[in-house]
Amino acid sequence: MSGSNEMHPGPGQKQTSKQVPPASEMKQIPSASEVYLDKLMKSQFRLSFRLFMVFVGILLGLPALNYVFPEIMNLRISGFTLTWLLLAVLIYPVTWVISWVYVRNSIDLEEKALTWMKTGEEQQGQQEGGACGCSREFR
Amino acid sequence: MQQGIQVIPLIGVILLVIITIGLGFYIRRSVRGTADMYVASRAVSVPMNSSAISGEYLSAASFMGVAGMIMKSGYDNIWYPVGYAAGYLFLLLFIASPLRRFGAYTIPDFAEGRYDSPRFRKIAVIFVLFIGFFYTMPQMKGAGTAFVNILNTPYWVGVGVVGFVVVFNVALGGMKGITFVQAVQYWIKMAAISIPMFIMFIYLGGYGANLEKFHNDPRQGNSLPRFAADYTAIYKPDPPMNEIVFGAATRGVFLNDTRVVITTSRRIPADAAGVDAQQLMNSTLPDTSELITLPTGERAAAYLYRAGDRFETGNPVTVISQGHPVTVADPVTGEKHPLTVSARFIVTPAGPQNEVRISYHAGQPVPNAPADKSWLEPYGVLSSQYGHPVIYTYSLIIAIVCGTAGLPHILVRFYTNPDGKTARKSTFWVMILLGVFYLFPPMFGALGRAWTPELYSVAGGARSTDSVVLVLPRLLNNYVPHLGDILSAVTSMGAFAGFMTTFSGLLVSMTSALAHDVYGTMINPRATSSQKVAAFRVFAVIAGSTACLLGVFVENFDINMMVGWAFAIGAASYFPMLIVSCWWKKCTAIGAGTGMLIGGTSALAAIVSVMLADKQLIPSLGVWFGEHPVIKTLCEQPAIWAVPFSLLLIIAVSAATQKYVPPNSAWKMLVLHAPEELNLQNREYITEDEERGYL
Repeated sequence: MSGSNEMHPGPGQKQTSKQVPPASEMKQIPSASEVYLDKLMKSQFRLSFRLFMVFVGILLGLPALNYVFPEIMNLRISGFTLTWLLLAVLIYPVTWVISWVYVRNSIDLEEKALTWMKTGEEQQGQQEGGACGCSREFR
Repeated sequence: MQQGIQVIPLIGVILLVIITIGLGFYIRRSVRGTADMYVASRAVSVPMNSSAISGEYLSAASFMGVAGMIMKSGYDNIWYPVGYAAGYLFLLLFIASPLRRFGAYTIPDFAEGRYDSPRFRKIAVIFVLFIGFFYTMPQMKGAGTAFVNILNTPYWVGVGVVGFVVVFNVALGGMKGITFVQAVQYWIKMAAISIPMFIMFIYLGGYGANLEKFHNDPRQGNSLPRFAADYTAIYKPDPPMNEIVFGAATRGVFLNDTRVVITTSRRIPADAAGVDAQQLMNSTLPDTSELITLPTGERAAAYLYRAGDRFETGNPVTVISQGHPVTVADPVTGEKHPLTVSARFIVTPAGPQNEVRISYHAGQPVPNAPADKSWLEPYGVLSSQYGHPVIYTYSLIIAIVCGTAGLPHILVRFYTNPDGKTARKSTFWVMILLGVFYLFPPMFGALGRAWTPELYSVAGGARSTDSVVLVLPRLLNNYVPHLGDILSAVTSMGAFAGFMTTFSGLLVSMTSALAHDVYGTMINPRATSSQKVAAFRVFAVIAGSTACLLGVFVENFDINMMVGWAFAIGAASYFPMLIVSCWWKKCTAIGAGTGMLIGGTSALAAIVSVMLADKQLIPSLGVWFGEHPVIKTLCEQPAIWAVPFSLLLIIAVSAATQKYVPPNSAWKMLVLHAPEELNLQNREYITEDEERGYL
């Protein structure tokens, strides 16, 4: 993690008591990247929110089903009641699927955004002096 | 009942303590400076970090408390493990990656860094400490309770032992030290809950086969569990341990002189005819009685039973009002049932002893146990206690889920990931590790009800349902000599791993708040690295000792109730603040601070008001709650209104204070969400140490 510390080499800044980035640092973000990042953030949020709604639907739907259809939810299946089976066993695999979908998609989104940004900057040319420096710092 | 020292479990626990301290020493050699101490140098691999997060998260509440709660009230309490796991999903979706990318170390760091507001840091510090101490108390209680079970030591011994080991490890190795220990202890806990369960399945029958013993058909749904052997229950004179609710005619013998107040198991409407004590009893009441004043202000007769006196309670009686049975509507189906009540004892020792012993014969119904149907089906005894089970259930779910996302020791863990991408990957693996673990507590609940129902007979304390994880495996002694003791040793090790990991995580986050946010940032911002490490160690000892002291005072509290409190406060303070801060550019420090402070304190006030009413400290409040059950439900489980309230406050106050939006908030949003490859990261708040090797 030393790479990010090298951004603030001054000895007086070691305490990191203030967090406002110096103006020079803020200029390091090319405006094109900013647009892409904004887009990335929005699409990340859409992804999160969609999966959130799916899971909330399941989570809050189960008590509603228990309330509306108690006879069905309390049917016995080899000892279990249906709702016991759903809540104590089957809900966990559902969380795994949702988190797997999320991790895969969000990493895809980021990689796509990185590709856009790189190609976008190449088109802009190197007039700003190799603005981003992201390839140099690539881990 | 098992008395005396349980030798084999004791060996297990000693082994665990030695392993833990040994790991601490082993790691100590590689701890080099502040970055190791606070964030394990942000270089923890995905498998290690996900095991460590899971290890930290699976607390005493998860290991013992959840199984005990499910045994006690059945289906309704399965929402606890589900909510614990689901809360993680929300962290993954909204908070894990931005929080790691921001690069701040503690939540107070984040609060200050996101808004450039030192004042906001102070508010956040207070909340870290508050939630932290609230959440350590149940861990301590679990430790004390487990020691009572294994060693028959006084309660405070367990608290002291766990406290000492953890403070020692945290002071020695900080975050780096506990990361490895927690990762190892996750696997200890996983093995400790799964292996005994699989072996019990062989001897005691499978999961479904045991659930099948409980009936939910109308004819047999009211069956109660019965004592398998003669059992002597010990009732301490403090509530709730001195209350015995009998569901059906039950015979017992008092083993020492006892004063018994006999009341009804449920409240009787004021317009109905009262039910007097003799109507609730099959045996004749003793001649000697005196009139005493109950904490509620009512006058009641306390009957004096002598040592050796037998009693038999009656079957439920129907409450009559003006010659007709009083009916109550079932809160779920709306069907009208006649209101029935049975006997409820409040016992106090009349002799020199400080406890009441009652002996029950094999085959008698177990007091304090819910009937089969209400245990097995949703909207049972827990959620229906105030007559509004649906509201109660939803509020409980929201509190647990959002509360998980607001626990400071969980959030700090994301900073030990190398970057946002690995933070996500770790969280995904945590979902799997937690999900697999949480399959097991309901099994203990089900097998506990079937095989060790005597644990119901005392409503709290060391030998209640809370100890089912430790007590149930001992049954196997009847099948294979010593097998039960060995398995009980294994579950004891798991339980102790639970207290230790969660306590160490909390201690690191509280110590960081004190050492990094209070000392390093407010008191002595020019502290050198070695001063910071020293401060970390000093504050670890101070915070740890305080937590132990608090732990000693909570012997009679319900573990999960205390966890619920910590969660409700976290849910209404940190969770809304973090989610809005991570995703809304126009949020202001004033808005976020106001929402967090007012949301959190109002949730706390609501919960405390219920406690004051329940403990009879403000009797008039208790009476008022009795008349307004919906409000009591909403106060006991405040998340359902407190989380939206806090979110709304943040948004509304931010909208009103738009001129205070930090000028660089657009840049901050980029830092939160840009992949590390762009190197936009905020400053590191914990700098790598240059004085390597001075330790």
